[in-house]
Amino acid sequence: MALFPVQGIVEGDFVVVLVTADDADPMTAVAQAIAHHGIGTRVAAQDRPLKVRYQGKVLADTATIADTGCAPMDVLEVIYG
Amino acid sequence: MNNEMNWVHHGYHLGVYFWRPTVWWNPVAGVGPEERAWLEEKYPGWNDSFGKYWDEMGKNIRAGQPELTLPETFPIVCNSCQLPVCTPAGYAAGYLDSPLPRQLTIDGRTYTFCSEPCQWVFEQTPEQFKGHTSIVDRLLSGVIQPPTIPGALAYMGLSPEECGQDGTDYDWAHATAPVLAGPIASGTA
Ligand SMILES: [Zn+2]
Repeated sequence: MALFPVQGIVEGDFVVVLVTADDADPMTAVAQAIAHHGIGTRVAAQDRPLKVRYQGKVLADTATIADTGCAPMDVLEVIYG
Repeated sequence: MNNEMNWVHHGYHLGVYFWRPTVWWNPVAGVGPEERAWLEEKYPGWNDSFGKYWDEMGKNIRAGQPELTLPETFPIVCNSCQLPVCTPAGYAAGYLDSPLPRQLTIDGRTYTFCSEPCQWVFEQTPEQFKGHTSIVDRLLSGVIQPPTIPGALAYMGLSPEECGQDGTDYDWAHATAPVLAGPIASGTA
């Protein structure tokens, strides 16, 4: 329910970007928010589901940022599952 | 650090182009067929490691969507050199073990670095650097209003006329490969 800034990395992209997510959104939405800044702009889209990885662990699609213990400006990676 | 000689500049090349509104010149940075051949010759493997980003941008330009080659957010910048953190480029090109940036927490504030040398410089005299806020820190802290790309460009003193644009009006994306023998017939290069 609150905007939450993270550092986002799209798998295959060249740069880390600032992404504003919502801490109540499920990881499927967080993945889309991050992917928006890399996939289809600098990284070719693939027809595979996106997952979010935090501190080396792939998060459940239904988890929220609040669930993960992620702090503002922590790094979230979007990868193809 | 020698490792970085292999990839960092290719990442900055992409970054200057993609975030061209934030620079005060018009980058002639687009990679057409001729530039691609030159880069591949000088940096074997460039097409596989870095050409793919230019493929995607060129495709969007040819599809009439150049806006997809322009930023809607900021890159994370290094709290030491203030340049975009391009560690994912080093990882994607096979030179780094991880795409993650380096981070360091001092007095409850987390700093992000592009590289080991930048973190080293910072750690030599943290009291000199730790109070500084990057452009991204200023976006998040509310110093920059509105906290958007246009708001940040205005904060940086860049009027719309001064913001960098593609220096060739996207000719690079429409250029065809030169014929190996004989003059180049196309006028679009
Ligand atoms: Zn740096």
